[in-house]
Amino acid sequence: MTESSLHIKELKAGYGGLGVLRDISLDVRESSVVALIGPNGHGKSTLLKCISGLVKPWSGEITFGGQSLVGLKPHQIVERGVHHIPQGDLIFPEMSVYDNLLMGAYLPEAYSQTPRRLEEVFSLLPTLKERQQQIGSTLSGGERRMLSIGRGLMGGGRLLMIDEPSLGLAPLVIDQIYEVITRLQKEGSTILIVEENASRIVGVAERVYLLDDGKLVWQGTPTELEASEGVLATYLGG
Amino acid sequence: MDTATQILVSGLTLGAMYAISTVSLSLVWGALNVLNMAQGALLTLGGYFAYAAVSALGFPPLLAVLITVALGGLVGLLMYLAVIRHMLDTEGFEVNVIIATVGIGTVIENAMLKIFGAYPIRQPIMWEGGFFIGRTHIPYNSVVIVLASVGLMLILAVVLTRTRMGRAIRAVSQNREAAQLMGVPDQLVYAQVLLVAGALSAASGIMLSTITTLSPTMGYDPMLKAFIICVIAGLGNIAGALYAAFILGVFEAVVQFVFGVRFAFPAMLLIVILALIWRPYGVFGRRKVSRL
Amino acid sequence: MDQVPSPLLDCRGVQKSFGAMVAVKDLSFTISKGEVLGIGGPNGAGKTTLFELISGLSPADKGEILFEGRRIESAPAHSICHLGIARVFQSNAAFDSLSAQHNVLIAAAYGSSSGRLPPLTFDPSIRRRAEWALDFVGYKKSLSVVVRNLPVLDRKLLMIASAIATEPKLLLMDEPVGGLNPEEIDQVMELVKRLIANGVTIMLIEHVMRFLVQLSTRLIIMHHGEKIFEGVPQSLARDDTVKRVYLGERMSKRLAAYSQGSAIQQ
Repeated sequence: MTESSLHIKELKAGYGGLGVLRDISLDVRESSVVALIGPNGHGKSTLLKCISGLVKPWSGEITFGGQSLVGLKPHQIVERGVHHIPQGDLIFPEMSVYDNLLMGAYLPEAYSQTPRRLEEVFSLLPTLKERQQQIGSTLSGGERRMLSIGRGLMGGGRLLMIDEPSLGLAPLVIDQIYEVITRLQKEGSTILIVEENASRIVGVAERVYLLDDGKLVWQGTPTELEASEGVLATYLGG
Repeated sequence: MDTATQILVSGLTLGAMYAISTVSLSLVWGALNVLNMAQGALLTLGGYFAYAAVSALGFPPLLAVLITVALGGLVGLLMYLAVIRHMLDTEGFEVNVIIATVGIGTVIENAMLKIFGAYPIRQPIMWEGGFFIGRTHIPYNSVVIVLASVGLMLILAVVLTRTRMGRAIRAVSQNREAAQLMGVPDQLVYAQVLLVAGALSAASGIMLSTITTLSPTMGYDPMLKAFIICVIAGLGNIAGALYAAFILGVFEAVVQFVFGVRFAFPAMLLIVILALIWRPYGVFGRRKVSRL
Repeated sequence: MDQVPSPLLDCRGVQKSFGAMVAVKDLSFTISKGEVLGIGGPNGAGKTTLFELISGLSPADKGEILFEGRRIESAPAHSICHLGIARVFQSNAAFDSLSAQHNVLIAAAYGSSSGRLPPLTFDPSIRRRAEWALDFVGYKKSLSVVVRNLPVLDRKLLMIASAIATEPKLLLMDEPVGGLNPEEIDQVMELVKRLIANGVTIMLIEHVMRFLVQLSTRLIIMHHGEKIFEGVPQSLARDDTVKRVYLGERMSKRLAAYSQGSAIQQ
């Protein structure tokens, strides 16, 4: 148990009566990048939501930096340094790009870092800088996605969880986001990503977990993943 | 010409009063998706409590007003803590909470009825007299109402746009889940919104009671008008609600003068219908650009 | 001497602004029957806006759009659908509270030839067309499941089924495989190939390069509302501007290897 390591033990969760996560146990080592892959609709997003408090697990443990996260409200979990960038359109539609980004630094300790982080986000995603006064609802789908990610980066955070960093983004932008992920990891952050595109995580992630039908069916390094024919066949489609 | 300015003065006074209670409704709707049907009762409560503070408890008028506004805030907060908070996130919330607020409103109104009786009472807190500009008579009371209203609105605007609490309220109104993920304590924000809304409603109620008379049902009519203004402006659109309130206040004064008092309400309803046909999202509401 | 057949879709000098922002700037291009025109470009380049203009959901400020020789730039969206253009949207545009079957029935009922009054019931021919559409896309889940509860692949298949139930000549597809894993992407690629074999002309926006490049017969890359590249997929990797503003180093290398014959990885 270290400062910013994440431990999940026998987690069960679902919606209504429907079970989605069945007995998930995984560890994310401090200052590492871990990737979750697997078919859609099989629990990857749900797992992230359990960690960030948006979904209440049925049973099991989630500890971060030695503290249990289960039962805490989402904003309390954010206060402990856990930041979640989900899929979907979660920007503030009536605020400008600039105000959206500022909301990412809502908590006091993040707020004090605002000028520096804003500069970093703008140099990472120049489109956001160009459009900083534009109102959220007028952005294109991909631009909103960029804004979500940029906003999530404004918060700092010891554990950063990104659900599908490549979704809907131009290849050049994806390159840049993965560069940031690697840099953040070198600076000490712990990062958990859900990624459809398994080839992207080679050289970035230390460990990969394959989630199928709510169960962890395989884990290993990205190199092992590429070499493993069985896994490739069933999941990656060859 | 003098009639016109006279109507304008009445209209702006009405508009100022509507503005406060409309903004109160709009805030609660925007942040919580709650249509506060206890609004009328809160107006009534404001008027009666100010009256009681002065006549029964002997407070000076200004103090009475301040205490009443604080009490309004407290009632709003209680509404949240005791009722609304427990209904959040349940199925059918938006509909169920309307019924719950109707219930709260009924309780408050009947309490007023029980304590003060059904006879209309004159509100002692008001400025008598006025002054003339040209041939137009401007009551001091109207000036106070308009100034107080504008003052409150300016304070609210500053709070919403420049303070941390204001940003939190706007964030929660626009996307609750995203706000939670930014570390915004959504339940605390809701409590704050209901507190502010309750205080504003009480203030509006005091203003109302200086124009008409105090009675247990005095809040119904203004509440309906506040709803109408909210809908015309675009639900949740606070700036729009402000403009619409003043415009409709003047409109009501004109109709009252030209056609008679009883035509004011139907005329306003007609305007709503026409406005919504023309702009279904509200006149000032932004058309929801669904970027698929 | 053979005449050059007239294009299916002809855009001439099309322009669209939102206030001070020019989303599509003086854009001209044509699509011939049977082609697959791929549209790529940075986020915010105006790709979806272009689809809005062609499908009639947004009027162009300037320029002309001709479909089979007929001007459609100021035609209402439903007429454009009846003329034979269908669109698959970027995000979920199905009727969420209705069943899968109901969604496609609606498309089949309202999407075919205009003129007559809309039908009050779903007669057998409508039902047959809906059934065919669902079968064609390979939709395997239950017909009565409410769309809101469907996982992303099935929702996308459903949207495609709704689009083809209107029997289009030109199909506009906006990021059809965003969010799908490699196996699912392969499935949709096969579906699109079947559509092409069935005579549907396709216009396709996508960032998933292997999908875009392997299906398109021709590519246009947009940037700030303008065309910065038009040509065959094989020459995409050689274009420096496209690499600089859109593809990045990594993808350019992969595309270069692809045009030399190796399979594309994403």
